[in-house]
Amino acid sequence: MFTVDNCLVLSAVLFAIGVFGVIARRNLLVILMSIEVMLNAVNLAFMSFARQHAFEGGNAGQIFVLIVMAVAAAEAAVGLAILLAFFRNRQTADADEANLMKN
Amino acid sequence: MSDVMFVALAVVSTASALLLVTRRNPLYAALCMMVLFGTTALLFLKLSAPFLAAMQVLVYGGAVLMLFLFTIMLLNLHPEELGSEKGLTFKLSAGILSAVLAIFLIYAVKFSRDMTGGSFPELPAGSAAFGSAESVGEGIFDAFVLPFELVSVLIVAAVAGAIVLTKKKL
Amino acid sequence: MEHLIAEMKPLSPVLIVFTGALAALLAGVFSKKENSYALPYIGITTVAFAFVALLNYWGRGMIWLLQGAIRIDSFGLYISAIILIACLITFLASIGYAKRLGFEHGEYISLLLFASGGMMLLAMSADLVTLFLSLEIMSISIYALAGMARHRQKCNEAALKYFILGAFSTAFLLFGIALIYGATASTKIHAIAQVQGLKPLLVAGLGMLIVGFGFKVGAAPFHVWVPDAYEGAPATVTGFMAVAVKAAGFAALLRVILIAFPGTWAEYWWPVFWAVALLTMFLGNIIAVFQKNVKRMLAYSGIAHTGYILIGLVSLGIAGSEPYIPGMKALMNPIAGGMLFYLLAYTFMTLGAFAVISLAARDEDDLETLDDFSGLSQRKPVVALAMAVFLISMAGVPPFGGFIAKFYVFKGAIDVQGMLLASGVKEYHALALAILGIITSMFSVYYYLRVVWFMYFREPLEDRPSVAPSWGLHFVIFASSVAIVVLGILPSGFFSVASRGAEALVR
Repeated sequence: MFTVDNCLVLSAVLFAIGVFGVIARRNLLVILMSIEVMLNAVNLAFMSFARQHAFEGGNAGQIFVLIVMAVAAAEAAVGLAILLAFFRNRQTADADEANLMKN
Repeated sequence: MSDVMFVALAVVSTASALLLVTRRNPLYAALCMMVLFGTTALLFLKLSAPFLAAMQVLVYGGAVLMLFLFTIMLLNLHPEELGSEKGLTFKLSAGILSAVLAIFLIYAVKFSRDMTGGSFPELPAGSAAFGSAESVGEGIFDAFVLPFELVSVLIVAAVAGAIVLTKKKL
Repeated sequence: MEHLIAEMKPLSPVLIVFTGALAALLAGVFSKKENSYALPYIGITTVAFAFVALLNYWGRGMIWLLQGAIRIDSFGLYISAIILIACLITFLASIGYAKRLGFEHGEYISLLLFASGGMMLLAMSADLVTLFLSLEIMSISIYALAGMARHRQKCNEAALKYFILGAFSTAFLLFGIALIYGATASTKIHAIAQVQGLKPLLVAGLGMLIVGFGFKVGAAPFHVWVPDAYEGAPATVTGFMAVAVKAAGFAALLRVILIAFPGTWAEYWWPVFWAVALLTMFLGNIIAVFQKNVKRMLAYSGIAHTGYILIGLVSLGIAGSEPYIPGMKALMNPIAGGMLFYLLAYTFMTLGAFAVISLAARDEDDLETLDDFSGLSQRKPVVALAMAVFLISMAGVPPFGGFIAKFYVFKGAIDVQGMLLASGVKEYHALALAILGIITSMFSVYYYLRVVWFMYFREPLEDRPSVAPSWGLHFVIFASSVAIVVLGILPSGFFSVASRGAEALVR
């Protein structure tokens, strides 16, 4: 059971759940969390591949996991700052309320 | 034993991710996210990467989750302020879309079994070569020194951006 | 340590830009409010130094740095030069504008420089780790820049939409990189090309990578963020986003696609880009016709321009997948050169147009609705003339740079078609794309000229007080229109520089 492809299947399923969250939800906080879920799934995929390629190609996979963590934290910081600025002006955290601009 | 643990972790992480994207209250979603991060850290341990498991707990559990919780507290949304949700048909089509994506990815994984099939290669017993702080550190300060330095640039830019967007007076 | 410093030397253009960003950040914190007018000059000086450092490495061949993380070559230097020009023009146009919108502070300058540095690295990355990180440095800075005018609700919205879709696409890109790493056990772009055979994992990775880059360059069907982000963001930032993000995104896309997936791989990716290019051109041009807001119209026209540049990529793919046809390989460099020339012409006309838009119509709003433009020729004749030059150039009417750029791109597709027919291959994809491209570009003439018509044949509306443009804005408008005219009249020198830039990718 604990094989490379099953780890990847788990990561693919988590990624798809994150995609669902971004598309289907209106609460901005939950959308941001869904993006974190997607990044987490990517990390799992990188880690499985890194473990599989443990004897070839250096440890690029592990470094990538580390970098994705940093990027996820930075993205969360900027994303939440943008959310706060939006909330201050509009008093809502609903993505569908962001509708001032139309064709 | 190893298989049982993997299945348990997979079930828990999938369930917590599903709960996360379906909770109406962001606070509950954040708690689900904590469980997801925890199980991911355990999976990293199972993949013999103790250093990254520790980092997962520190960065995601410590920094990212706290950031979300702070924001939830700062916004202090009442249940009636949470706003409406998208319609059922919309959610259904989004579900189908993401299911198609998942199936596509699983297909790609399962059809390259010559590369992804089988179990992970055995690591030599007692070796700290893979997944230890030493091995990751060697990578960071040797082949990947530029990316490592760039992370610092990224963080400075992110901090400047976050401050400029939220500080009341500049 | 000394070894490392010596090795970093060729990276000096990027390092100068990052240093300038830090200097601007510190200067913003420690200077008094009334001295903040001096901050853009820090940016201008930095860009000037970085440009000199850049020119120093032009024509020196390839330099590999840091175990293959970076490859400094003519392509990366050419794109970096475009980015620095865009950054310089943005600084000049921001003089006055930033003050009026209340974001004349060090962070604005600093974030623009951080974004530029990230983009330059993006154009030079030869390793997916570096590529991803520089993409993120660029994106995170631009998310914050898009929301810079914090009290404007439209601006908040623009930043929000750009952030959510940007982060979403980043995750796709990242998953694609993970799959490619899994299939090849390497993150080096040049090593990926060595892996033989078609593997589902690699194909899936390429697919997700295309989705991720498609978002960044604003290609349909991944363009949904473009109109809102462009309309809501401050005009100077919009111009920078439109030009520099697109140039950097195309640089990364071209490098990854052409180097990691060359030759027979092209058979798999060019049909995808063929459909994407067609959809992008049609959607962009048709929706632009119905826009009343000039800023939003330019957003859709920017989408359409992405489609035209993608025609070049499709031609490269078709040419690359038929390497046995004699003479086909020789066509590839001019096609890629045409794409790079297009990016240069697009830089000047778009930044010029957004500089005109940043002239306020009312206190805080940009000059953006069609009504704002009516009778502009009577109120500001020089500005109206320059705007007419930019718009007519975008429409692809001679004798301006936009016409020559479109000419090179369409000519590339037709040349490939001719070569195919000469060797007896009866497939008309390249020709079809070129013809449809020319047809869509005819639509575009209507909406560009409508703005010109409003400027010249409508009476000015009374309630439009005008703000005197700063010297920087005057300079930008003047210099950009001169550049567009020069690119249109004397294109050959610039085209040979662009072809030399393309040599690093396709010879």
